[in-house]
Amino acid sequence: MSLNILVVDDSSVVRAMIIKTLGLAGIDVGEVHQASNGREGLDAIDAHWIDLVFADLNMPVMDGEEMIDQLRANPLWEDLPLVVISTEGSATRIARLEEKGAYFIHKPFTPERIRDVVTQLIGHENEKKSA
Amino acid sequence: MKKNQHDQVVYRIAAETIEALALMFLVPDEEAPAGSDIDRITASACFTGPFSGQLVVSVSRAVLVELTGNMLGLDDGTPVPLEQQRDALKELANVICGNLLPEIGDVQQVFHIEPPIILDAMPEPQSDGGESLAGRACLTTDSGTAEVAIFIEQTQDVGVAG
Repeated sequence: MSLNILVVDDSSVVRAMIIKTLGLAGIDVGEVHQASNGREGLDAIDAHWIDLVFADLNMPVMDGEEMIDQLRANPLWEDLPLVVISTEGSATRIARLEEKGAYFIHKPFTPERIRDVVTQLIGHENEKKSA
Repeated sequence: MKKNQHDQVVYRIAAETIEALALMFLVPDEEAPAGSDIDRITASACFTGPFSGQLVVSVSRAVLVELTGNMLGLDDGTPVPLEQQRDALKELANVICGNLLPEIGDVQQVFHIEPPIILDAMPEPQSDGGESLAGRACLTTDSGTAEVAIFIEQTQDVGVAG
């Protein structure tokens, strides 16, 4: 089943790289939506059916962590699968993000890493649905 | 070229990042980059945290064109808009900075990296209590050169972790 993807990053080059890498990783991608900050990301989630979000952390207007907090506070989106792709190097902050239900991929990323995380995520979602 | 405390780790992180992001293999260059600033594009990522400063990346134009094309997976010779080149350079500064800070600090420390910006030129180290040059690397490839430097505010003492 195709996944509708949202990519949130203030760099258009990074958004293009993530989208290209999803293809290289063999992910079955449906619609692809893009946003350049957390605020636009929330607007996109409100306007479109999104199955999976890739988000950076350090962005202007609204950063990734604030976007995640707002998503998790909304019953509609509290379980939306989320992958943070960031240069974040602090183990403390990464653990905090994971406690909020986000998976973490460190930049620079590889297609294999994205494939493994998405596979893990899809498997987890399928388990929840069959429970 | 004058030696600084973090030169080696700056070179290693810069080389690894460029290789991973753009599949470009740059080697150390002991000489400072030749050519004027007009031939180069420079980006800076400012950071705050247990210590503060900025990470600056300056590359020759030909290197930036190749870097951007590789990051985007474009065929050789495909024109790359200047705005995308600048975007790619800012992202390079962002990723090098994010990977370098835990190396010269500590993985438990939390830093905030500002969205990178384009500068007119590589900053000069400040001797009057501002930012001092803490690490620098010059790298070269067939296309040109890249210079990476980290400046840290002089009020903070930073040692190499581990």
